Amino acid sequence: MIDCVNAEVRDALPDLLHGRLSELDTATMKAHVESCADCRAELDLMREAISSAPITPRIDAARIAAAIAPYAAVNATPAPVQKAWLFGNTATLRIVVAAAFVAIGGWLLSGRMGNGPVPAKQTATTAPAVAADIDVASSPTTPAQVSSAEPAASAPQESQLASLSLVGSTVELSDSDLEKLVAELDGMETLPSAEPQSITITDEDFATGDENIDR
Amino acid sequence: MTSGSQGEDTDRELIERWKAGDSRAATALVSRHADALARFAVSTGERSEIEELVQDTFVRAFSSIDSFRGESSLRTWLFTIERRLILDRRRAERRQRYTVPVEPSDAVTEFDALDSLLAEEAESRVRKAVDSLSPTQREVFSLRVEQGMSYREIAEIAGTTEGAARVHYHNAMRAVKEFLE
Repeated sequence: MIDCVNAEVRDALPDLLHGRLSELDTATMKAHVESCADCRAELDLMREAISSAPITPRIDAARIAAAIAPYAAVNATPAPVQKAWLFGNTATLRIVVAAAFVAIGGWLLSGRMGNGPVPAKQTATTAPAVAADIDVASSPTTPAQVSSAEPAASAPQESQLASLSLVGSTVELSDSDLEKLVAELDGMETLPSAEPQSITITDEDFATGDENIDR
Repeated sequence: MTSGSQGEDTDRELIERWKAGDSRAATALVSRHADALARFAVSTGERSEIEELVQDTFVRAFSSIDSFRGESSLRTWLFTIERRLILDRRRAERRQRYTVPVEPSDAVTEFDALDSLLAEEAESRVRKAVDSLSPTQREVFSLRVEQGMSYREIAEIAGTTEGAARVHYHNAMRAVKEFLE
């Protein structure tokens, strides 16, 4: 079986078979097919392929349609979920969040104010090393000055502050511990680790006046 | 979008009617496209549970009908869904190391006995030629010749390009002709 030399017509033969061409194209194609044995043979081959297709089982359209869920059921808006009692409304949640902020703020403030001496037991149990670091960094006076200058006068105040403070102080640290701490602080990196990227502005950028320079 | 015959609703109109709660519109759409889907499934080699396959295709299509944007025809979209289901089914069968035995006699049991012996022989040879094609060529040949789809529609269904679909079709036609010679 030889192929027709007119590839465009050959390409459109299935469309002719299925009536998918315009009236004009159909007339043109039919005229060609009448005079072209190769195209007629190819059309016959297609018809045979269609008629020899395996038998398909009968499809029960009503049964299939019954299996399809209604659109409203598939796309129904879900019912609003019952909110939990505690955080059911946003007002309660706001109050809880606000209270949490106040508590955290108070805790931080008391940490800063708690530079005074704290009883040894409390320091050991409640003052983490981090808290001690903060106190040392923020306190302009050394613990030695505090303890030696006004030991008697500061005693009541210290006890009051200690009762308010949740964190410990460096007052209870020995001189050797303090020296170690200061040495560690001196050794800490104080500069940001990332260097700012340099910006290169070319003459072209100036010429175009482009403010959105790609960095 | 496939239009119905004169006086019939188009696919889109039927979809809108179904969305509005008219279940008869779904039946009309199924009636319009189910046979073509079944033929396509059989032509790609499926032999068992064809109606279940067609049903799954419609159930999936209707459950995600809002994702059908109408850029292609509904039939093309349905074929795309069915083709994916066929591939899924074959993957599952491969995993189970179970193959459905294809019995050629099934295809001819209901063959019209009134057809002449010669025609039967010729068609049988053509069918053998088509069956000898590679899966891709057979799929494209079926969509082009038996379903009358355009290369654009075939490309969309098979997930390829129009050019590739055209090449597959012409290679398939050449292979069929060579088989018959």
